[in-house]
Amino acid sequence: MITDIFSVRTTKGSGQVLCDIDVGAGGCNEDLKTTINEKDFSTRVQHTDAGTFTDEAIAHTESGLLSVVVVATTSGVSSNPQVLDL
Amino acid sequence: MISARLGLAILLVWFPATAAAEAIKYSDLLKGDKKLPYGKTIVLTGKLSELTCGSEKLTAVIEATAIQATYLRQKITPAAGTIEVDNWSAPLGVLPPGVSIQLKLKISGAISKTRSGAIVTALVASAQFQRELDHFFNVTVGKGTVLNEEARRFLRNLSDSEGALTGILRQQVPCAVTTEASKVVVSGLEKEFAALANLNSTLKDLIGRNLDAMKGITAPAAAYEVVTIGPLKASEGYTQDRKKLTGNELRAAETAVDQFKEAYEKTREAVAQIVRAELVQAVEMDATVDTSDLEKYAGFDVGAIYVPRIDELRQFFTVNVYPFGPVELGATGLLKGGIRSRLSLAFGMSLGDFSSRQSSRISNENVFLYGIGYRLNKYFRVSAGAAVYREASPRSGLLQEVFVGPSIDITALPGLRQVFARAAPE
Repeated sequence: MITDIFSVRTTKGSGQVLCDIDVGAGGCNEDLKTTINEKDFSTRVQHTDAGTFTDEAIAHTESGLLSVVVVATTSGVSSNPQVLDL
Repeated sequence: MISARLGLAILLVWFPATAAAEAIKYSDLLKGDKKLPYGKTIVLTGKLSELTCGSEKLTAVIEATAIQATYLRQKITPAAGTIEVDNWSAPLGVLPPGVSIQLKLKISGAISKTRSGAIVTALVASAQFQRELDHFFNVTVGKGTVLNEEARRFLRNLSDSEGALTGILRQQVPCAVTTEASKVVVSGLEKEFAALANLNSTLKDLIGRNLDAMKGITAPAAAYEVVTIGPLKASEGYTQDRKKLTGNELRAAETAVDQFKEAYEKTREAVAQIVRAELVQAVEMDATVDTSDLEKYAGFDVGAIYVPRIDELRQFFTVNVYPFGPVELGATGLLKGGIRSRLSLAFGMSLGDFSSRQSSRISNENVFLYGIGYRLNKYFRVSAGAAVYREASPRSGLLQEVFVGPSIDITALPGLRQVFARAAPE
């Protein structure tokens, strides 16, 4: 299960939102989801071990300066909000 | 007839002002023991380290890059001054004599790094910032079209007359003119709005890494110190419960540090640049200083005399010469000098009787006066001496009688004070 989502970031024009996550005992198998311009984008995250995992990527098709929050759909954990230049 | 006599009585001596430049130390003016000379081009000089902003040294608050001295109701455009390391000089121009002027020293520059960091920290700690930020993200997350509009609203609310940032600027830069920073802040911080909005989240993400070095740290400026000059400057400092981080944990912590550093530095720089870019005349220091008045060699008085022995009350004109050298009348009307600046030798004449006397003992109404004058203040004087006249009866010789009377020095009046005067002393 994902226990924390942090350091939400992007590189302008890359088409990806990156974040790092902490995973609890037993690993995780759930979606990371973000809503941008009222469109949902998600990626499946599977880890068998607990620990910190970096550079989890969610592909998107949007651009511009936008507020972004990444949510783990099963555990309900969400990141702190960030304004990103997508 | 009278005007011809008056013309003889008045000897106008005009000493035009000179235009040599003179450097005056600003600190001397503030002490109140120095007057600005009249008739010379004045250049104020000083050290930045001697200037204060509220109760603090100016250099702790502002990285000064420009300085200008001016005064209230100045008619010419003030010239820019210069700053060389700690020394500054600012031309003030030629001043009018005998007036109190309100000096303004305008200093511009970016807010110092330390001070802008304190402003950022105070801003993030303010309840209004957190409330407005929560509202901003609540409204904009997941939506795109309202972000710019909400960003401007967010900045306007922080920087209107009651806004948290306006209050913080007043406190942190007490000598700045920041009654309302709204336009300045909206235009200045909008460019780095993402950094400002992300500062809170990136700090929380960094604190969430539970690094030993970050224990007890909640303020942005303190956190920035830890990650730049403190233990997190090198990767060896990344420990959690005294265990050195490696692999993904280290990379994630380094990313959190980098994101926070970027948000903090951009926000701090934007705050510092607000003053440089927009509040150019923000830092002002006022001082009221007197300029020297013209130094008078003599005064021309009109007044009334009483000659008790012949029971005459007459008007008179006198020239009062200061025997101990020229004296300054002073801007306030009060005399600071001793008796030597008050005494004068009085020479004059009287042309008529005030008291509606039917017949006068004085031939042709002409009386020559000589005596001593004593100045009571800038304008008024009491004179006493002898009135010399010829009796109306034929074959009369010259007679003398004691007189006393008050007079007003009309050459002390603003439009005539250059009569019998010279410019400020060397």
